[in-house]
Amino acid sequence: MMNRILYIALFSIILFQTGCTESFEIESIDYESVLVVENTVTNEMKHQVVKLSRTSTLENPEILTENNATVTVSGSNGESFNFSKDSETGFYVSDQEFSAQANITYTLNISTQDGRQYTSTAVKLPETVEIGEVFAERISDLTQNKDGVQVLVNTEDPTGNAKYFRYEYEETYKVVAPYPSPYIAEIVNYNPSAGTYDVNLTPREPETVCYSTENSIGINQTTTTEFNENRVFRFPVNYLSKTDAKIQSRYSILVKQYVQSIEAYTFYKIINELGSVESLLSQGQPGYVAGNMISKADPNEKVLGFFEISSMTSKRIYFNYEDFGLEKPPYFVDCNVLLLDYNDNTTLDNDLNEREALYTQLTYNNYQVVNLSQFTIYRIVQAECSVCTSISSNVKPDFWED
Amino acid sequence: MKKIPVLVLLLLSTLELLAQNDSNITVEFNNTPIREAIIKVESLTAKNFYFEENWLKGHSTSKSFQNATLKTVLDGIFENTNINYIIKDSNVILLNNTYVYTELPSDYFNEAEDEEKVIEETKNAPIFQEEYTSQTSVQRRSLVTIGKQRPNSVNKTYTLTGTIKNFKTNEPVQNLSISTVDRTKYALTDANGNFSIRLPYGLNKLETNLLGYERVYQDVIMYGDGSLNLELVENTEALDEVVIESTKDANIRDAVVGVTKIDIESIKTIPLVLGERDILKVATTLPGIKTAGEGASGFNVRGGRADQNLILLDDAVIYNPSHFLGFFSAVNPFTTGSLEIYKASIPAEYGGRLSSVFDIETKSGNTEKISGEGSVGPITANLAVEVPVVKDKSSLIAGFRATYSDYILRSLDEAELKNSQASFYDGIVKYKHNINDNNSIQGTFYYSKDRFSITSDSVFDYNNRLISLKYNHSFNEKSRAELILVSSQYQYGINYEADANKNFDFGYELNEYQAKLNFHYNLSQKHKLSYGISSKLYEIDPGNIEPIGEDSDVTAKFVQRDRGLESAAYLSDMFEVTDKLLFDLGLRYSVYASLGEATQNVYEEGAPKNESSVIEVRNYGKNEVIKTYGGPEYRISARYLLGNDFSVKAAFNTTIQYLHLLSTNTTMSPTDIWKLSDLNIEPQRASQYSLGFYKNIPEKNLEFSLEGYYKKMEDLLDYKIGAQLILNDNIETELLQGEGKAYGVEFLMKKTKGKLNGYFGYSYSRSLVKLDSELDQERVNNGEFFPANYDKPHDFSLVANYRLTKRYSISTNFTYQTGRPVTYPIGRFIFAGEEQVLYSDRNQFRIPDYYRLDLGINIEGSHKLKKLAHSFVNISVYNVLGRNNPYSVFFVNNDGEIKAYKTSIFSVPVPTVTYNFKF
Repeated sequence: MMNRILYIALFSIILFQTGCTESFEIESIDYESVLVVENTVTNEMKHQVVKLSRTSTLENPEILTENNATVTVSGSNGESFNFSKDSETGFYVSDQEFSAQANITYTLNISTQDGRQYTSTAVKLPETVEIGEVFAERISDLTQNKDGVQVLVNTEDPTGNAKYFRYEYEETYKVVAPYPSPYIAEIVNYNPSAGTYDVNLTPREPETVCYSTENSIGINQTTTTEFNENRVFRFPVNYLSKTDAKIQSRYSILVKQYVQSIEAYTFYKIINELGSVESLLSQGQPGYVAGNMISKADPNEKVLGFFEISSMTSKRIYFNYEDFGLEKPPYFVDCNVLLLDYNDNTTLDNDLNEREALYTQLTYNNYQVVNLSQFTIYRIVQAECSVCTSISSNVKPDFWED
Repeated sequence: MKKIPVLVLLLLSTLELLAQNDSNITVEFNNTPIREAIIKVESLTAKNFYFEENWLKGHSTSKSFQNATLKTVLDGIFENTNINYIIKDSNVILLNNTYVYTELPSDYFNEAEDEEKVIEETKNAPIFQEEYTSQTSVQRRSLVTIGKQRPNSVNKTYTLTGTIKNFKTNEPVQNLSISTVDRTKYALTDANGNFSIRLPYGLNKLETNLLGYERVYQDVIMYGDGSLNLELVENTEALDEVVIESTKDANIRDAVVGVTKIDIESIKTIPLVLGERDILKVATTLPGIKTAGEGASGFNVRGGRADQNLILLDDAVIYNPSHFLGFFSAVNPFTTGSLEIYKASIPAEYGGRLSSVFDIETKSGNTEKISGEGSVGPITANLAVEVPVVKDKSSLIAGFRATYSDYILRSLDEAELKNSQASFYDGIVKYKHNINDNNSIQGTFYYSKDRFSITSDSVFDYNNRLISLKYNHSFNEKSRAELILVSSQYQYGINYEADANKNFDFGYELNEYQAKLNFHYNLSQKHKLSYGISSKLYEIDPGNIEPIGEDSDVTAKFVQRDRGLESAAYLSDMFEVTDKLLFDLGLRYSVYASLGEATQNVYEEGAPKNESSVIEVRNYGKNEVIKTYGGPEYRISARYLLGNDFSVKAAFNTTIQYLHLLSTNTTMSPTDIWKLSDLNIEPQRASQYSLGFYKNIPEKNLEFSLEGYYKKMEDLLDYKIGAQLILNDNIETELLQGEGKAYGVEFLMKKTKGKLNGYFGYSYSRSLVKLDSELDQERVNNGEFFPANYDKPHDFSLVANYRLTKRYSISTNFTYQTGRPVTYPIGRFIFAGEEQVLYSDRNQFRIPDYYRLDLGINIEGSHKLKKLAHSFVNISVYNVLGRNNPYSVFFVNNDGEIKAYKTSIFSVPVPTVTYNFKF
């Protein structure tokens, strides 16, 4: 009897402790195609960008971009800038370069192909605050499972007018292929019944050094309202683990600082909170997040998004893993170097049929030949390890400093 | 066979009696017992007399007759008795109308066609204890006739007097109420056991009522003034049952609408969750009282929010009446005497919450001998003891309950569970001392504590502490007063120790102190007044956080203390206009002052409240009044009797609430913040109209009620999308205040006694909220009404208990509720390179319906009288159908992918065995 009671008690506690939350497949109940507007017009002179998309159903992960929309940003000084869709990115890009000016209010107007018109409230450029110091530091905090390099920002606003900051970054890193391939290999005269073939090797310039650029994802914000001094101090922008292949060679990060209005800050903050894992102390009330875009015909129509004018400043830093006394991190992929002899065409010698394996790897898995010895022994590896353009770009960015 | 109705027969007998003119009789009696007198007359007249000797006992006569007619002689003999007679041919039948029917010769009986009904009444064999009404002791006595029937009765009412004595001790029984079953007429016995009650001519159904004594049902026919003496048997065993009985008919008789009384004894057979008998859980099976789900503390009464209930334990507010986040209630079932829930007509003495009052009263201890009750279940053990301190004057009752789950968890091999914690305990002590007949004091101390981990690296704990002192004084029979001093504390904390640089200790504390003075004055038979004053001081420390360890990056923070003083004066009059119409007129005037010291922001009118719209920051000194709010609260209700067992009632109630619970969770959770009204937060206000019909069928032990209500609420607190409430200095920037409305119909059918007993309730109710504003950011769902988080239109529950034998009974509990509303994700989109979720309008969708069936078997110990303890075993299976009732659903963006999670608490049948004992 006692055992049984214990069992029941335990069982119940397990229920309390672990058995109460489970994930399940979601089905969207009532699909509503809502226009999503994402953009930040800045004070940089450039082709400004407005991203228009539609919400998709929960089951469908594809991004639905909005086509054939007319997008215009007009200023209170009478200026007007038209945007056209860039077929490659799907973004609407301004036909001419322009920058947001102080003391002018701007409005975003969109008319979609279904004839609906949307407009934003008038927005003006917030205070400009120059980004302060961007620096990287070695951090080692095992309790947080962090061991690597942290990129941080310090910014000071002597005017005290700018209180809300959002950060984005663009990281560029050198990719050096560990096993450069000097040949293009081609299989000819393949005889499926006999399993014989010839490998034609054409020499080429190995693609050893490349540069990858990635933009940050997600919303990263901070505010100075909770601090007495008007400064952003040691705000973490990006963390790189010591085993992150991005710092295998030289690494560069461009940190962009956007000064936000309280409305824009709040909008981004709520979007971010609703999408993030709930912490112990915060439980947000979910719901539709109203931005500053409105449908002209139906004020109750949902429009997701915010027309933001922001002053942006940026700073770039470079570093190598050695700067922090780290060991060289492993490459992006686990390089599987194989040494295969064309003449070994049997499994009777207690290893694999190497002729067959060579054929398979070169034909189907895009292995590249690193070298050839004794006329029949091929050293091969995946393309990612030998031809850097397979995962990166061989165009060296203009700004790059070695 | 002559077919003459009995009543006609009686009239006829009178006629015959008048027509009689027989031979003359000469006889003399000198203090002769009537029996002998009759035998003498019998021998003189050659008539056969029929009578029951019992009637004649104690009567004697001293009369002399000279050549008198038989009629004169008999009239003389029976002058001072209740005896009538019929002279029919050579027979004289004496009538003491009690037994008129049964003692009539059988041919008379069968003559009556319509007499069946009457016979039924008189045939009522004295049933001292019905087999299946558990320990209820009831004496059903045969019909008694009071006074002598006279041919020409003129009076409409007669006085019945008498003495009531204890059968065993022969001592008079004081304070026993004797009343008509419909309670329109009643009287109390005085110190000598004497009573006097005026009753209308004809048949009256009387009942007696006193805690600790058997109940007597006595039918009397009033023909004139007379007396009735009763002897009652003490009935201590049935004490609890009598409590139920005392509320019998209260549903019909009281003026209050929407009141629910739960008796602790009657819930003992209801199937249990994990073996805990839970009075508050039972409350939620009644119409109009809901919870958001299993594991949700707090109640939603008639469409009100969970913070709108004033939960009182011996007059002190208990802020979190639950353990384990609401799985169990924190009220010890063994020390609890009664629970009354006011859903509509809230008595004027109570205030400060919009929706309801849960008035839990602890039993007074046994003043005669030590007794106790205990239980052993899979999660907890519970023991309550009653100890007399000064015999017949004062006693102590103490209850303590604790879990042993922590011990079980620690003994486990499983590492994850080993470090888990889940424990709670609660204890209560009540002391009551009757100083003399006019003065008594009582004091209660209560403490409950919970400690558990939700995740392996955090520990939540919370505790309630209540102290309550009450002094009762009677000035005279008409007037009495109570002085109540109470203090409540509610605290919680979160201790998080996982990442060295995020470790923190968070704490919240609320204290309230109240003094209350109540007077009751029976101005006249028609007006009974209650009035008083009360004042309550709140002190809330809404949150402080401190880093743990040197590595923690958490900065210490302390949110400023919230203080306020809530005072009220009230007056109510129970005004009995006629026997049928009763008014309960109450007026409460409450005033609230938000007090310093504090810093408050003044926001720009018409702008969203945020840091940028602050136009002034005001500083207030200690005890400086920041802002006052207040107003009259009307508590008006009326009852009209449509019959003995049928009434209609109506009520109008207004309430004001100055203390608000902030929680973005649907339910109460330990991290909720109670926030006082201040410069920027208005009090919530509500008014409710209700109407109800009540019908009892006493013969079948059935009670029916049908109630409808419409409630309007103003300045309900709600939150902006994504609101952050904890450690927020300017919490008003996250809040919205809007209006709410709730309406519904509640039906309840109760079978109070019998082999099969229980109740069935159904309610259709809606609760809607509207958050509208000129400002987009402050408007939710386009400013239209939307369902509140706890809006569950259909709610059906059945609680039934079937007694198979004296020892075995089976019970069941079935609940069905519409799923509660949720805000659902309806789409995805990409923003800032990440996938995000588009949410529906707030509460646009519902989680699946909730239903659950529980079964239980109760086995009583043997009924031997002499034994150490009376035992009782309950075997329950919770959620027999294994229904996976989702309690909530939520969505998380995990590495750019949206995942949906649902929480269900008990998705499989949970069996439990509990052993209860009583000594």
